[in-house]
Amino acid sequence: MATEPHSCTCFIIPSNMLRKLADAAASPTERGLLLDQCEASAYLRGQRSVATAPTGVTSVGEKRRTVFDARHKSTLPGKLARSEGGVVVADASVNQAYDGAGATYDFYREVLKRNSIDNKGLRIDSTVHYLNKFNNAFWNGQQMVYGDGDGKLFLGFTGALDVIAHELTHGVTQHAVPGGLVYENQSGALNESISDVFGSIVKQWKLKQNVDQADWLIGAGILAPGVGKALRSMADPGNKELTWSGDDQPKTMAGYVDGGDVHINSGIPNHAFYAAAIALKGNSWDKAGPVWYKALGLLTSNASFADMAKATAQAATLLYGADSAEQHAVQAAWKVVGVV
Amino acid sequence: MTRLSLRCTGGFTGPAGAQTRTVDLSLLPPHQAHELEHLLNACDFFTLPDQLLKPAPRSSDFLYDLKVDQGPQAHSIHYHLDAVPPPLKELTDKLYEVDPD
Repeated sequence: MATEPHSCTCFIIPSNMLRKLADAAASPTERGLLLDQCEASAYLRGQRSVATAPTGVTSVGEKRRTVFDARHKSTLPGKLARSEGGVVVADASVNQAYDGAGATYDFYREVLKRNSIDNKGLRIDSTVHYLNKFNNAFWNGQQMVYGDGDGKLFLGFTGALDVIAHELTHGVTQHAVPGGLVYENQSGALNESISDVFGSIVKQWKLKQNVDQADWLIGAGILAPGVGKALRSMADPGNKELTWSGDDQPKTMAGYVDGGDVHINSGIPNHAFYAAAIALKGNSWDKAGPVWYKALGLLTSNASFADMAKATAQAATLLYGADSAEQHAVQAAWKVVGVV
Repeated sequence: MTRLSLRCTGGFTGPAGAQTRTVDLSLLPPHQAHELEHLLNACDFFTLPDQLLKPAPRSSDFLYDLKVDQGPQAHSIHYHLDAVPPPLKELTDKLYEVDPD
């Protein structure tokens, strides 16, 4: 009988045990190391789940971006339009996708010490001009894809850095949360929220805006002028004056929509992050951002909002100490939205 | 007359950017209409359950709603692409290439 060749990624220490060991660690440094190992395990599991698909793994610590043009078809990745270090091209969408991927990579590298999407130096591929009048941008598990918008509702997506960082962060979540976050119910809304959080932080970081200067809008500038100003507001989810007429995001658990779309209920954890960042003052990437990032490794695939509240409180303890002002600010933020 | 209507949701925009693509087979060139009709029959569309969802979807999984009106019968399915039989996946891919309404 012929044996089918296969590869298997095995783990000597399961990630849940690594997390338990981290909980019992004697020092924050030791705990941090154990959590990093936990994330590495999550990455390897992710590799196993997509083992049949080609991935753009490159050398560690090297920024490599590649932008393709789908020429309004659905075949990916499309025709090569610009590679790392290549000169600016005539197509603005290509350059925006290239620059946005670069800013997001730089943020994760410089601020969170993360080596690209997978923390292993993954090459960042992007495809622009996907289909005709396509009203979306998405991370397909391996690369970024951008439509041009229909010109009536959406004007395009590459011009908004928070959109690019949002979608690339889906890749980060896929690798940083052990097993990834299931994209339905509260874990799905958390997945969306985490992308909004880091989408907004990357934009603030690039613009050098502190929490009081930031607009806290998601997707500002992608909607046609007559339609609205942005897709979502983290400062005031559901405020149609700030966003657009179809914004039905809840701000607190009082408005939670049972069985609602992940893009709807994400307003609640979005506002929790906003409340934490405002309480912690300064730049969102200095304290609130690292706490949310550290929490990713403490989540499980079906994490609820309450699990995220607990994980961020644990992350704040890890980074700033138990009973610290930061930990209290994070806990208070989840109270604001009615999760705890 | 056979009329297919595909709605797709997901990605950055979610429901806000959902787009519908509608195809009336009687208005297509005969070979294209035949190809879509063949796929419709191959997946036995009218006997499929109302929902075909994968157990642990990822952010890259779009949600599709396909409604088909064919003479006296009509049927709608809500699905993830990975959870449907290959002919329905191929049909979805072909409809996806059509410009949105």
